[in-house]
Amino acid sequence: MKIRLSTGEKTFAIVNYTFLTLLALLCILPFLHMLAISFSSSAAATAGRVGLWPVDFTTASYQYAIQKREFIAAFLVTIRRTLLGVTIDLAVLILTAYPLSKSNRELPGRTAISWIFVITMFVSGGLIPTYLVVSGTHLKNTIWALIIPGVVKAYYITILLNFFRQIPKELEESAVMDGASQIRVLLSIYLPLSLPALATLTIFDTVGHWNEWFSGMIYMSSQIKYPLQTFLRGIIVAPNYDLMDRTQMELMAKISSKTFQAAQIIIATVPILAVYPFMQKYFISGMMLGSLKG
Amino acid sequence: MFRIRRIAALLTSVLMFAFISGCSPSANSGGSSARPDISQMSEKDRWLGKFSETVTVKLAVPTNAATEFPPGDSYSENVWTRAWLEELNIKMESLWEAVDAGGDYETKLNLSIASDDLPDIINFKTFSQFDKLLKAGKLEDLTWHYENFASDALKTNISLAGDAIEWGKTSEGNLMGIPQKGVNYQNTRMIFIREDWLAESGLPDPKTMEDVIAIAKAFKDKDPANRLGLPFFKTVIDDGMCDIRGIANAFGAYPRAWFDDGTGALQYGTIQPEMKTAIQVYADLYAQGYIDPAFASLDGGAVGEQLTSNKIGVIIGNSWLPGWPLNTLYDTDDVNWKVFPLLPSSTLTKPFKAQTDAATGQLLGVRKGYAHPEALLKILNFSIAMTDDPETAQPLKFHSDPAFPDYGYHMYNPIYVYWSDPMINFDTQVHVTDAIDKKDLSYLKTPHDQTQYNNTIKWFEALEAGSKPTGADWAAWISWYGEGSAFAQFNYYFANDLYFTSALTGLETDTMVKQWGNLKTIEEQYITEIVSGTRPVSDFDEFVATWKSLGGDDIIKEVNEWYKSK
Repeated sequence: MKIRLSTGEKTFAIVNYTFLTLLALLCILPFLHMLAISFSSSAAATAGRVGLWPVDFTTASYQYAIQKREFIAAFLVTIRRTLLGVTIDLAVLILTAYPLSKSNRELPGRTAISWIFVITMFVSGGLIPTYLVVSGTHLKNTIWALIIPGVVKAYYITILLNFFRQIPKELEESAVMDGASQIRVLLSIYLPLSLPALATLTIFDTVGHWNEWFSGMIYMSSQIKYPLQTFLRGIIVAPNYDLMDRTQMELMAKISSKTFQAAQIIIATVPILAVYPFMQKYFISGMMLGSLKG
Repeated sequence: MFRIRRIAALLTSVLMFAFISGCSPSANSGGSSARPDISQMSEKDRWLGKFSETVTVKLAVPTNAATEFPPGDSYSENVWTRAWLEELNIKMESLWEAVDAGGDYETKLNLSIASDDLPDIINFKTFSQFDKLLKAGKLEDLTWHYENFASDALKTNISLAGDAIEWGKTSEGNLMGIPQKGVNYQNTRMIFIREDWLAESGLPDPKTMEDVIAIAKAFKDKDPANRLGLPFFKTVIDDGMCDIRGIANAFGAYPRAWFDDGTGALQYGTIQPEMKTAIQVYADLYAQGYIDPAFASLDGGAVGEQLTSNKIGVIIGNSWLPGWPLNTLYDTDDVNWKVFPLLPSSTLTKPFKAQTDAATGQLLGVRKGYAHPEALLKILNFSIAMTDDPETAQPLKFHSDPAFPDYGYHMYNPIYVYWSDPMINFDTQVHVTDAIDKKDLSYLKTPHDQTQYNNTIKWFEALEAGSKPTGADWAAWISWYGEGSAFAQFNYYFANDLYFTSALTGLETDTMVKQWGNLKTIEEQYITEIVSGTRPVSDFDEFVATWKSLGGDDIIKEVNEWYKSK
């Protein structure tokens, strides 16, 4: 049977789809433009002749980016910090959120402990104390400076904690009745049921680690240790125009080479885009339908 | 992203203050510093002699992400650091590196200061950072070391830069910082006009600023759909690309500069009535459609795009324009430009002057307690000897080598301070032109002459061979060769005493530290709004009143106190 839509509903659907399409275009067009620039000749890009399709197709910018030592090094640093960082973040996240999702009876002082985490969402130690702690603990110039200072993310903990709480208590009770330990309950009941939340948080965290540049700038003492975004920032931030001789002018021309910048941005963005489809399948709702009877 | 940085910067400065005010100020900074026994040393030993034992110097290096190194090299391992070790027995260690853009370097230096982990030689980008360390007693007194270890060449070149050596001195006359560079004579505006469009319009070469504006209008009228009149962009006052300074100078205004009004008092340029006239010119051009309506959102890159896509025929900007982006336009469309000095308005009643950047007050200091302060001076002496001194220089090794065009060796020097003669490009322009015209290489006196000659001669070689010169060849030719070259305009300014330099150099008063950033924003906002017609030109008076009430009056007072005490 076909459901007939009223005129009002039809109009709404049209307006809705048009609006969403425009919104989607708004997001994707700059990316396509960047992609087109990265495959265009430098002269065409500087003259602004490139739209959504490459002009004078060339892969020169990619070849240049790939043979630039600092770029490759930065790329590897970012991959390493993202893999390590996300794994450790998630482990800490789950182990913190699970006990805190219990009631005050099961975990005495739960509310007080939660507040300790919540406070850090609003008040931070400030740049210099944080820096002093990181350098005092000799984390500077190691990959851990990019991971450990931000390992406990109060915001994510709040999200996961609340997700855990929505899981019916009875599921846990039935498992305990069968003799399951807390670890077993966490691993066999809570985690499988929380996959959508975990997938979301994994994406958040991956994107966060991938895009973060400030701690790389602060804690790394040489360019070769910079993560990708810190490195990219260095070439994209406007340089001083206080130029004096020809070598610097040429350097300026190179820095402002739009095609080269575009190629590096594309290379830096594609891996993170590739993560989304793999996470898609975990966004399934209704997993708990029918888990409880009566 | 920008918000985070601003908050970070704010926190840094607040905590810095807390930190420094907590330090016990060892005010008697004249205490005995490390002084080697020099009684047995010859002049040459002191200037460029080897240390008997290897001396380590820890540096914080401001970097440029676009710099290309030969394989295996880096800022802490390159032709300069190897030469320091071999020739001077100074071993360079990088404490950290940070990009010299977007405030990254300053942020990291603040963290270094806060954690008391200072480099041995400190490259200060702002006067206030130097001043903070000085007041906290964290800097070594360099008076004696400068006297005994600075080479004659270094002292001469610094003295040629006006009172540069005074900035780093305390009120008692102790030298606590070495200036990094003097007046930047090359930051004066000049006029570039497209040769093909000028011929097409049939107009004569301009004699006054009014002529220049008429030419810009004529270009646009010829093809209104595709051309713009005069380029203008969001950095309205302070960027050499196409800011208001050129036209302001033509009408006798000196934005962002201080001048003596003849009574012994300093006045601030942006708030003078002449500035109102200059803004009026832009507002009229805007109202008549000769300025891009989107100018307030354009940056240098966007104007570069307009230039290379054949939209602009007149640009009043800096001498580096041929190097970028005009060279691209030569590459793609064979466009040549005619260069003119800045021209006065026909209505100007006082003597015409072209404004150049005053020295920025950047200094080099030595950390208190570092055992070999003279290492700094030896490094500076060495830079001059290797790049500037006709007898010892090796420009191919230490500056640039045409055989390896990707590598600018002088960019690798971790202390990027050369102290060459501030007028070096003036002479080079004449020497290069003579050497080419008279086909006689003996006109080339300095290594710098040789380098620029090598670049410029490529233009002639290409023409002779019947091939098209590259954009880079064209840029060298238009920069150096003949009376119509960019650098020749500086010689013209200099020979006719047309230079104007701000009377305020290297000083930041207390109110400036707090309010200057804010006041600059207000200046830019008002100019942008008046030009784009959001406000009438008469609001200039309101701008002056606002500027004064928000700290401007205090700054004028402080600056004049300093000026009188000089």
